[in-house]
Amino acid sequence: MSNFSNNHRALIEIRGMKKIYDLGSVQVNALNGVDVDIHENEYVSIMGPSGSGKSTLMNLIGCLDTPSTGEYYLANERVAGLSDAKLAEIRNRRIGFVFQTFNLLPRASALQNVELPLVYAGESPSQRRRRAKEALEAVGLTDRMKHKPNELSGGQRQRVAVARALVTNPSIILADEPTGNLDSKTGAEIMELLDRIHNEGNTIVLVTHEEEIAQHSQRIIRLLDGKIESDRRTTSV
Amino acid sequence: MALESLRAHKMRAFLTLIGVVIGVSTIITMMTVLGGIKYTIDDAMRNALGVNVFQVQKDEQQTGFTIGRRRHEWRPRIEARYADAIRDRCPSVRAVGAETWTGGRTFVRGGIESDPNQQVAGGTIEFGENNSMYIARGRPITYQDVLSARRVIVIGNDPYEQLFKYMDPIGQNIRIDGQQFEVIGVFEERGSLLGNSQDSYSWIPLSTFERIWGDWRDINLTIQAYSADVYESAQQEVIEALRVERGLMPGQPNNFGLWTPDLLQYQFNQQTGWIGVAAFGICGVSLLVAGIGIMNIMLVSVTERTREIGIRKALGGTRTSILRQFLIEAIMLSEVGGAIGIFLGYGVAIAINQNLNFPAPVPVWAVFLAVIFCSVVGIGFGMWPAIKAARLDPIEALRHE
Repeated sequence: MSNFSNNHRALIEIRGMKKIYDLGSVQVNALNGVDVDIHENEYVSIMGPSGSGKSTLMNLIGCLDTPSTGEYYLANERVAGLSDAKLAEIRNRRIGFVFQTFNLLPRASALQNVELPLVYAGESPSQRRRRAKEALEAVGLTDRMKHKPNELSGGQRQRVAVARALVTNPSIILADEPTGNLDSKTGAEIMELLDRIHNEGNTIVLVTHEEEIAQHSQRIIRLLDGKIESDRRTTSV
Repeated sequence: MALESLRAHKMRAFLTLIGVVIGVSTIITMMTVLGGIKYTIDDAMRNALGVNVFQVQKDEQQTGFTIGRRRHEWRPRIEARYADAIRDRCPSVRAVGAETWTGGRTFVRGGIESDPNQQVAGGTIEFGENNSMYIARGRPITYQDVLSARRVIVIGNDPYEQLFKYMDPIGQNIRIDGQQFEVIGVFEERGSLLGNSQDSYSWIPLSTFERIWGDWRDINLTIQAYSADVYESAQQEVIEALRVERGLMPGQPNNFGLWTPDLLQYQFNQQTGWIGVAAFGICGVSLLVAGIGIMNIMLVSVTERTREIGIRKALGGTRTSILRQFLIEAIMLSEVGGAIGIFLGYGVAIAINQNLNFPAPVPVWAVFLAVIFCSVVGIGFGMWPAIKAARLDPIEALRHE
């Protein structure tokens, strides 16, 4: 198994991935045979109209779901067919989520929110605190650590979410419409932050429907009807 | 984390807790009050009859739970002369007292009347010691008093206070049913038991008693053994002596009863046992109601926090950790109610027992029991909501509004 795994060089390797939702009378092919490689320190956008399967692909990459058929290797680890508990562990170690709606715990402070993934990683309280503080400093929120989400602006909330995504040193940052709930100026600031994180060596997968946002990445994968329509490098790079 | 969400919905949590609070405070109150009563009665029974003492009465001591009156066959009365027979024939017996009682008497001095609930005992010289009643002033009834059937009386603290406030009663005369008695002593104050005064008992010589109120009443013989070692053999000797006195043939059953403090206590414990069982019943029902309340509130909480569960799962929360989180929350909820209930119940119990003049011993086992009960309720009724939370699909949970 380990020999076989070592043959997979890309950070993300997806082969013939299908996702079929059984809605009783109808079966919906949300993904209908997708092959993708994403390498370390790549900056990739996934685009496509609604219903194209981009959310499904993102959920599968984020290990929130498992494919109906096909293979998925994340950092040489076979994800397809893993147990619930194992998937949770991979999400914890390998993936940093940034959501459109921030998804912070409303009653917890910025610091506690950033500490949360480390709680599930089993870190000691002092270690958690230290690493969460570092992550918040890295996104420029040194003086907002004790604030609750409702005491922060939209941009600040998304920075907390980015810090939370970064704090476990994940293999990939998975950002789902990260600027969707922000005004253009704040959105631009968040994109600058993501660019910087990429430049520091992180791998980023961005799901967006905005062309302008997608132009921040090095590569755009366009989906249509559950299949890859195009996969090319962006012009700006 | 769990406490935080309780804090966030104080009012709702509090309303849910009322059931637990009622259940737990009921059991703590009942147990503390019962404990107090039991302590008092045990103590009273230990003292009511002196050390190594038992009684002979006409009827058997009844044990267990009886409804209505148990009828007995006709039996001859216990007579004062049996005391002499016991004195003569029972080597293990240190002292034999004979006593008989009449109640509802009013003591009169000049124009002053006592309460009409006075109990008068006609007793031999052993009466005081056998009943753990001690002389506070004056002297007890003596052998001479009994022999000559003197009109002398040792009065209880109640008639003393009612008739002789601010003056020395010794040597004064009082009247009972028109008969005149000279007060020769006063008993020590004894307080009250279960709200009944223990100071309305007075003592006159048995011979005087029978001369005034007749000799048809049953007499109790109160017998003291020399020591705990010969307590059993003293009882056997007394039974033999009485059988001889009554001319009973071998094989004929005793036609008199032996009363021991152990049996009295046993009887009392059996009856309070029922009250305890009833208390558990009440408590069980309210904890069931409380449990359903907790389950309801936890289900609401899981629905409300579907998004949070999704976030936690996305960040690496496993089913087990989500399950644990919600279970702990349910237990905490239940335990907080339990803690309030313990303090409330204990407070109520203290208030009741102070009014009734009992001690209120902390029922440590009841507190432990309450804590365990609350945990069981928390786990039992929190399990389903927690499983529901743990099984949520992370993608759908994250999409939840």
